[in-house]
Amino acid sequence: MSLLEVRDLDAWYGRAQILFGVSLTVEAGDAAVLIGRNGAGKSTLMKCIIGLEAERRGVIRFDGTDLIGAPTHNIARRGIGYVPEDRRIFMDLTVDENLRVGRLPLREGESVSWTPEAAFELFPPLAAIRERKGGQMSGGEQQMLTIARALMGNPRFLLLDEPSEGLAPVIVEVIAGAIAKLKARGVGLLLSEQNLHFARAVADRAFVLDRGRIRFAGTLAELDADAALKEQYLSI
Amino acid sequence: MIASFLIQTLNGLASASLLFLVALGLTLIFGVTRVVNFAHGSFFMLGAYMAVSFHELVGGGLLGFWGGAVIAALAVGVVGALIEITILRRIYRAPELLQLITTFGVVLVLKDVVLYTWGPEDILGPRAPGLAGAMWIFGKPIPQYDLLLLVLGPLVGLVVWLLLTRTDWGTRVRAATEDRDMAAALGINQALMFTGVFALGALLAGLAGALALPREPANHNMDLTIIADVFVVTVVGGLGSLPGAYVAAVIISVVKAWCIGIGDVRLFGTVFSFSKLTLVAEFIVMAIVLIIRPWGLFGTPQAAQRVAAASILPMPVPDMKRWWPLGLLMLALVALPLIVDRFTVVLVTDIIIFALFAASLGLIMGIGGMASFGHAAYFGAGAYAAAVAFKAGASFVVAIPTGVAFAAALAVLFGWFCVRLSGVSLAMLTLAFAQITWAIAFQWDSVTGGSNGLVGIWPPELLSSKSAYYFATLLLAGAAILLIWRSVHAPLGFLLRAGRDSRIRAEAVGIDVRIVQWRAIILAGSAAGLAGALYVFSKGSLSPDLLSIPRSVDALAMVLIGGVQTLVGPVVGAVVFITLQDWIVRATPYWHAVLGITLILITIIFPQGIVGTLRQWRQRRESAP
Repeated sequence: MSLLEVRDLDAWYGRAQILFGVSLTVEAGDAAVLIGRNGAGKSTLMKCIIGLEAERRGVIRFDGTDLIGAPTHNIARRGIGYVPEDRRIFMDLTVDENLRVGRLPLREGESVSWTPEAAFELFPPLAAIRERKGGQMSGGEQQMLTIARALMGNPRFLLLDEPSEGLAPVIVEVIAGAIAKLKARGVGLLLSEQNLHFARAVADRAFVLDRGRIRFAGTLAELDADAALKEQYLSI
Repeated sequence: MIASFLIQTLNGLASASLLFLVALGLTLIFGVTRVVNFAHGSFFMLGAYMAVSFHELVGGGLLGFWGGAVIAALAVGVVGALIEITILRRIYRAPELLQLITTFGVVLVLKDVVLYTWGPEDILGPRAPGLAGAMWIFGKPIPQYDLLLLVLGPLVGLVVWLLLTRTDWGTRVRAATEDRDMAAALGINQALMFTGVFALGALLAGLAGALALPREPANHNMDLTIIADVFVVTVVGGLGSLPGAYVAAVIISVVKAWCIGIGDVRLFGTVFSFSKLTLVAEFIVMAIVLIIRPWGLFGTPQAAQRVAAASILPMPVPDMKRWWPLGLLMLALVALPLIVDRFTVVLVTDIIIFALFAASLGLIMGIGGMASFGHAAYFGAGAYAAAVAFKAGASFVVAIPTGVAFAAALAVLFGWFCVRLSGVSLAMLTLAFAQITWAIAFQWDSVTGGSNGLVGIWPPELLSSKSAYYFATLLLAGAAILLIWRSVHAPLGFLLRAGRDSRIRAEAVGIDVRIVQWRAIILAGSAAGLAGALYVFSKGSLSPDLLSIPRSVDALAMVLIGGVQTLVGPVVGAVVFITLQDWIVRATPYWHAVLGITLILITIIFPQGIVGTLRQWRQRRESAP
């Protein structure tokens, strides 16, 4: 049984349909990347999984339980962490407070809980600015904080929406390193990217999304081998 | 002189404490749930009555007073939680105006609950034991209880502040205030938190009500009196700001206290009674603040409101081939007095007048996207101006245009401020304006007749029969309604809708959105003034009730019941509302409650109004394959 299974998912904003019969699976300890142009539906798919905004129909199963219709906070409590594209740091709260908001009690059968200190090991720059408010942080610091905040809920699965977007190369490296460590700890990952280089660095499997439909599913090596596919769906 | 100012300042600070507690609760609730809770004044009133009852139950003494305050606060908190769970939970996704109407329904219900439980008389509450005396400062007495209140307000504020900044729960509340969806995505149960915050806000209002008892008896006007003040405080202080709520409460209360302290002053040979100008002073403070900082002293500028695409229904272009339903209706209306009895003719006259009133509100609300909770200001202004002109010797033919012109002038003044705000702040501002207009009518005895109003305002001989006046109303109001409808499909309507749907884009193509909105407010104000002028001549008398908050909410209810973004909606709403009201008022003495429950149910079941919901159903059916 896959950790995350999406089958025949349709999604709408109002009357505009965004996703058409999307299906994909991700295993525990696996990192999959969603590749596609702007407006392909990557963010919508992530929001569907965490239960925000969009109207959705189809099957989304996490560890065997159906998520469609479940309230957002229940989905998060089952162990899905969400790192949105626009980061959505609480601007009026300090780094410490942002982390405190993300804290969730351990689920049954789990023993190791993430602490702020453990998160600072992944993202050392945060340790020095614990009392700084979200609104006074740089984009890179915010991106690290939003991942750290999601970790406070001890997720078994992490949704990362364009984690490398608009960041300095140094920060991108830190984030790629953190993702690799999380993968090694057995956390399942689904990230969306427009940047193939970053995708190659962190993921093994890829899904190509185009105008709301999955056009390719396979390994990154297979994707790299298929020039026609890349030309059709990924080049600008 | 200085001593007397100091005393009034202390007195003002004591009032500010109570105002602050209520405003704080309102702001907390708004921060997290984005609902402006109209019923917050009702929680204040409920707190006062409950404390009285507790005091009667256990007798006087420390326990009777302070125990009563605590128990009343807790009880009101529980009532708040129950209301949140049963009613508010269903409307969080609804448009904010609809939420205001729903919570106004709660106001009406609680009003009758109080009437039923405690009777119609004012009830004198207990004095705080040991604090009934006065302290002498600069040779003037100041009640000891006032001094205690003065400290108690900021103290409770401090406790709430600590709760928000020093506890996990408070941190989560602040997070949800900023971004409630992200908070949910981190596993925070919104429903539970909303209930908790609502209960806390209600508790603060209930506590304030109980603490107000030594200063004023528990009475039935506490709810709307305090909510109008609280709205002014939140607009001045900035919605969602805790320090803003306190500073604004202090400014408003102290200025009011000073006005009372100044008393009568002789200037240029005329006597000005400052103590009667308290509400005008409040208005001037608010006006100054809004000119300098439209978002309030401690508020942050509102981001351009994103209107969810789904919430705006496209306005169909009128199809001239479908003129016949309107033609038939006209024919029926003309033939009506020949068919029905005198009573029905009067009822239909009322309906037509209120249809115009509602249609004028529909123009600025539905088409212009500007919420008004004080539209009765224009209705009442038209009625009063026409009546005063008539009393001064003007004929009907002169009095009616006088009413319209006066209402238009008022719209010029109020509109200038209104176009500077949007959303709920605007709604609260309009409510405050209407409340000020009410206060002027209520206090200016020599011209308006004060609380008694004016009587003997009848149309001329020619229109003295009920049917004749009916035809005159049909002609004038009908023409005005058609003019409003026409303006929606004229440049004014196009520009208004552009400004409503996207202010930024509209301004980018060169539309001065504020001027367009101002014009619409003036047109709507004039139309409401005409409705008011017609109304006063149909009834023969008027009173400040015409300007009261419930009257404004009536108009709002008509528009929302019918459907805000439709042309016919407000008119349909007026028909349904007036007919229902006429029927309910005759059926039960507790008509407030019945009306309130009806409002709550309608807003929950028909979030787009009757006409809007029907149209949505039809569009869904047509778009289905």
